[in-house]
Amino acid sequence: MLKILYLLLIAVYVFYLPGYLIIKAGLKKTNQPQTHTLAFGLGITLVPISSFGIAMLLNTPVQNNLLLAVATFINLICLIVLLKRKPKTCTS
Amino acid sequence: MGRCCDGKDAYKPITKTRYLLGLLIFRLMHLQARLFMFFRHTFIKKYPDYNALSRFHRTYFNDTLKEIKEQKGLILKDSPSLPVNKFKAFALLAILIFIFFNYLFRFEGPASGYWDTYITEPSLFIANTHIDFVTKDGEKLYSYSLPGKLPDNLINKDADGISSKDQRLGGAIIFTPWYLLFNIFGFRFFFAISGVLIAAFAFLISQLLFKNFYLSAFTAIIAALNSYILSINNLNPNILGLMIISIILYLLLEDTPNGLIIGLVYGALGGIRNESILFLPAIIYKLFISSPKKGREITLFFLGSLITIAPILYWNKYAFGNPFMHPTQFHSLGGFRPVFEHNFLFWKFDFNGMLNWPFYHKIIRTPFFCFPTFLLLPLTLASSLGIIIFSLIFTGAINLFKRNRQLFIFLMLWFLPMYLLLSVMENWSNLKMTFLLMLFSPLIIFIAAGLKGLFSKETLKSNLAGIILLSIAVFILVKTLAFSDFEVDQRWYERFPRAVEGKNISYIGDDLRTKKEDPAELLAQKKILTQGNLLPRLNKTDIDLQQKIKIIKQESNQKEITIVDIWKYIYEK
Repeated sequence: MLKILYLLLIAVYVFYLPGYLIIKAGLKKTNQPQTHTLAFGLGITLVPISSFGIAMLLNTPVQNNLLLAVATFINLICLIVLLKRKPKTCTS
Repeated sequence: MGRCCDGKDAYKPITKTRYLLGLLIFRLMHLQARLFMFFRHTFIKKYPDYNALSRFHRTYFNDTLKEIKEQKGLILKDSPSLPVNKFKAFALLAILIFIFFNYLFRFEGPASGYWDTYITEPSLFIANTHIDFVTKDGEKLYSYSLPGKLPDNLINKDADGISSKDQRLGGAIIFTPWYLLFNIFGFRFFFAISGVLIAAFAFLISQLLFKNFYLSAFTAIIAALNSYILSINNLNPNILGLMIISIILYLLLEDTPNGLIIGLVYGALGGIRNESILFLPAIIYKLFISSPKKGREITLFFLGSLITIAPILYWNKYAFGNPFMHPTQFHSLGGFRPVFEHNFLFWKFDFNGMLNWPFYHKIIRTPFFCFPTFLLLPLTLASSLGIIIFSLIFTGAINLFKRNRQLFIFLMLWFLPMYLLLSVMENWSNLKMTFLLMLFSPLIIFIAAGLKGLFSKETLKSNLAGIILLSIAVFILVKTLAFSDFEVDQRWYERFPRAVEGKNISYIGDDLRTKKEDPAELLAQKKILTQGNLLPRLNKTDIDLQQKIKIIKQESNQKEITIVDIWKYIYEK
């Protein structure tokens, strides 16, 4: 059970989070349920092709570590775009 | 607060969820500080006055929390609600869960036919997993080792050569991460997820255009649970294609489409189905009419497409010597693959496929199929959906033509080029019939538009009359076609000599046959297609649940598989 949960968490990190951050960085107008579906749709499409492209560049097979690294890379790029765009808010 | 908003965001309303999340993060930060102090004091280096430090921290935390809670002027608003109420949300969830388990349990496993073998094989090689190749009788073939790097893993001279054969590599690429995470079960798991996403995006597209829950839920069911799609139980690039097309259509139908994101997804689709180049006019048209900055969005669209198609172009160059070559046209794939002369007006060309009229001098049909493809496609659709829902496509198209001309033009630009391409293709097979799914999304929108006409009092009568009249017309047409007879394409027997009586094995669709076309089988097929069923056809499928659960358990621990080298049974003389 723990293994399944762990794998699902990884799947969320690898497929959902990059898609979610791409949406947040690229599509401004989305409400919640659509965002989540779209996030997953984008993640499962874009992460595999990016991993394959990078694996070919690095002359290595696609492995779990590479998959995590690519997902993290996409997440970081999108986070940087988001942070650059959005100033921090305060209540004073 | 290094980069503050200078107070301009102060007293703007925030959602309750966000406020509670902020409080949670605040508490967690203090808990973290407290835990750090505790562990440092206990295990690393003792603080001189730990109790006083703890007291100070607790007081500081409590005071700050009190201050936050007493903060005046905070405007809390409810979180954005779902577009539907709770009951509807649960109903939708139940539909999606049903679709997930339906797809999960009816999946027959990877590498059980032709197309899926050439998804599974490269997918495992991309992940650097060794495959044991065998003959149909289980005899071991090839002794080889993987070089352990890409793209070298994908072409092995000591094994069966180019691992994706004449299939596109995109499908294998999409499945690889699922295999890596969930072993062989990953193929089944992602097959089920594809079904869920097809339904979810059909729902979202319909909701976006027609804003009616029941209509959208029905559209989702039609998209993912129609009898045609339910007959596909293997890995199929056209199921992936339908899923990705749905994502692209949803992104395009938004108020202001984002060219870059659409381009990125479109490039990925191009790697799975090269034919998706035919959707380009529709996409450009939609970006042109919807984007305030047309030139920018269209440029970004091409840039995005280029980024995600680049790995595929590189692979094509590496494997076939030309980045733009369609894998089926690569001359050095093993086996007997003759070319046939075709002509169109004054243009003559050789092609290793078999095209129908107007590229051939007469209208023909592929053996084992009772109609040419241009009739098979609509007849299969009408037979699967039933004539009433099939007629809704036409009433929906008329409704959109009258009320939303731009959307109508967009959908026709999407549908027609692909239909025209498929309609002249022969050398047909049950697998190729799944190309129908590439046409599915605009048709689903037309069906939803047809249904929408029944929801309004103003249009109810005219739409109902239209559906009845069209249903009668389609019914008569379908029944008339039962009397038609088309000549068999003799080129097919030339290309697949094993199909000629006296030879041992021939190939058609996704199974291997040892006989010539059977007239009784053909008649049965014609009977089904020209039955003229008004309601959707229901396929009875017997699933042994216990057996499936056992297989799933086994797949989730299974890393390697044995694959039948199916190519040699198809193309070798």
